Amino acid sequence: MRIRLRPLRFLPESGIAGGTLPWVIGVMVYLSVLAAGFGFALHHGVADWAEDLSRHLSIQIIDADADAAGKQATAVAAALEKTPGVRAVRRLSEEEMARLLEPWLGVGNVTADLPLPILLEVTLEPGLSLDLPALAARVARIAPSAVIDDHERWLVEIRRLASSLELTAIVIVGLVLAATAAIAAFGTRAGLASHRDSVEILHLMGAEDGVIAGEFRYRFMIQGLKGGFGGLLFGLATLFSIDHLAEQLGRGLVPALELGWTDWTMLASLPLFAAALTMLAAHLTVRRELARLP
Amino acid sequence: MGAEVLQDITFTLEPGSFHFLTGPSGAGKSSLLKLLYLAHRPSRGLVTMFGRDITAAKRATLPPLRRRIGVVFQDYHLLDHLSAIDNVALPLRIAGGASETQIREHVTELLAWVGLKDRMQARPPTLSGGEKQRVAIARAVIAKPDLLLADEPTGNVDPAMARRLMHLFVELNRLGTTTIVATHDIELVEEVGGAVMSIENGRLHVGEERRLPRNPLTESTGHGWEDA
Repeated sequence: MRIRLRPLRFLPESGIAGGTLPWVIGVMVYLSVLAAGFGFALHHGVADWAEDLSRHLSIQIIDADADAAGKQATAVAAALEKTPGVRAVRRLSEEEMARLLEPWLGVGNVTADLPLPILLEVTLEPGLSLDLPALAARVARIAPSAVIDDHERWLVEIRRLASSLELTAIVIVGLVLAATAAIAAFGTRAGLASHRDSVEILHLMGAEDGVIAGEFRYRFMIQGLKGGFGGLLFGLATLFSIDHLAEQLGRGLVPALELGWTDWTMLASLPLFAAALTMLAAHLTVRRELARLP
Repeated sequence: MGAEVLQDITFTLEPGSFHFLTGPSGAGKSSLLKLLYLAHRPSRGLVTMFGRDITAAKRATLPPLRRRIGVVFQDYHLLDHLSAIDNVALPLRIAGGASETQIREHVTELLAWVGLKDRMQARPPTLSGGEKQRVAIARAVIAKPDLLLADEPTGNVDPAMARRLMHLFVELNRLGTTTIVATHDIELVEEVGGAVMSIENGRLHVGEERRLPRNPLTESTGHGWEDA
């Protein structure tokens, strides 16, 4: 059986929705691509950062007696280096400690007589989970004043923030697509209004509602795809430009645009999704209008 | 609900019959035709077509019935952005079943027969009144309808053209198409013959059916479709 996509070409080839619909859909898809792209990048950035952070522990050894603290630190480091799952233990130098405090105390204000704790940075083997309570108990036996920070509190906060931002991105994409559907519905109604005579004639000739709606669906699908892929191209160009700028500035606030193939597939499917929504909106609008005819 | 345009109307159209529908402007001719080509539903009463009660029929069951009806609208109702050939092809495309090649062959043949061989690709805005009329008539008859309804089909053309158009209706009727032609042109009615239904103040009077003369028009006008 031969399926004809357009049994009736009764609408003019151009200007069915005033010619602006592809542009509006293009802008909508552009915004969706930006929101989704940043959402994906944020998701991966936070995941990488959290993974990196979860592979490190900080151990502070706080003792008023600097010599005692130094001995405890050496003993803890020696014990940890022999512990399975620990890749490396590094004691931060006094300069590094001073740099860490500068944001709070100001440059040059960390004086030599300021008592500073000793900070050990512990790097764990990737993929291995450490029994943290057992490790803490062992460290406590060697250095009673040691405080272990596995960054869990920060991780929870960061993950919560990232989740909120990702949710916001999803909501933005959803709202933009909903707006696209609404615009398509308005466009269809305008198209119907300007072709009402043609639609009525076809109706009186015995064209089924589905056939008439099919022509509108086809035309709006084409408009949606045109605008959608235009929006996708400009959206990707913007994402790459921002990524390039961020790379030049050094990675900081903006996560790297390292997307997986599923992310790329989802971004590439946004125009298709917008076109499908546009088709659906056109279909429903036309069917509702046709139902008013006898 | 607005005022009733047609009241106490009862009539039966025998299959293959030919009727003129006459009456003054505003009498209800167009309303009656709209009932018959299913553009309106009666507010009360009973309309039965092709053995189906149209009054109670579900909306979804009407398109196949509409496809059995050819309509020549008073103001043509051609689709301006489609060529003459595509306008005429619409009923066949709506009906489906025929290949595009068959459709084009059939439409080309009919348009040539009505003298529009050289105007097939022209769009309605570039056609003269007579040419539009012939495209509208070709569209109405292309699918060989069981019922042909023509609303003032000769209202905008000169008498010679009116005769030519009527010839087509008569020929189609001879092939079995039940035909109703709404017209003001009493001379034409007298010339063609057939039964006359007259409508006045929303009430219908059906005259006796007269046998159509064998060749009511062609003897005086010839078969000329060449000129618009």
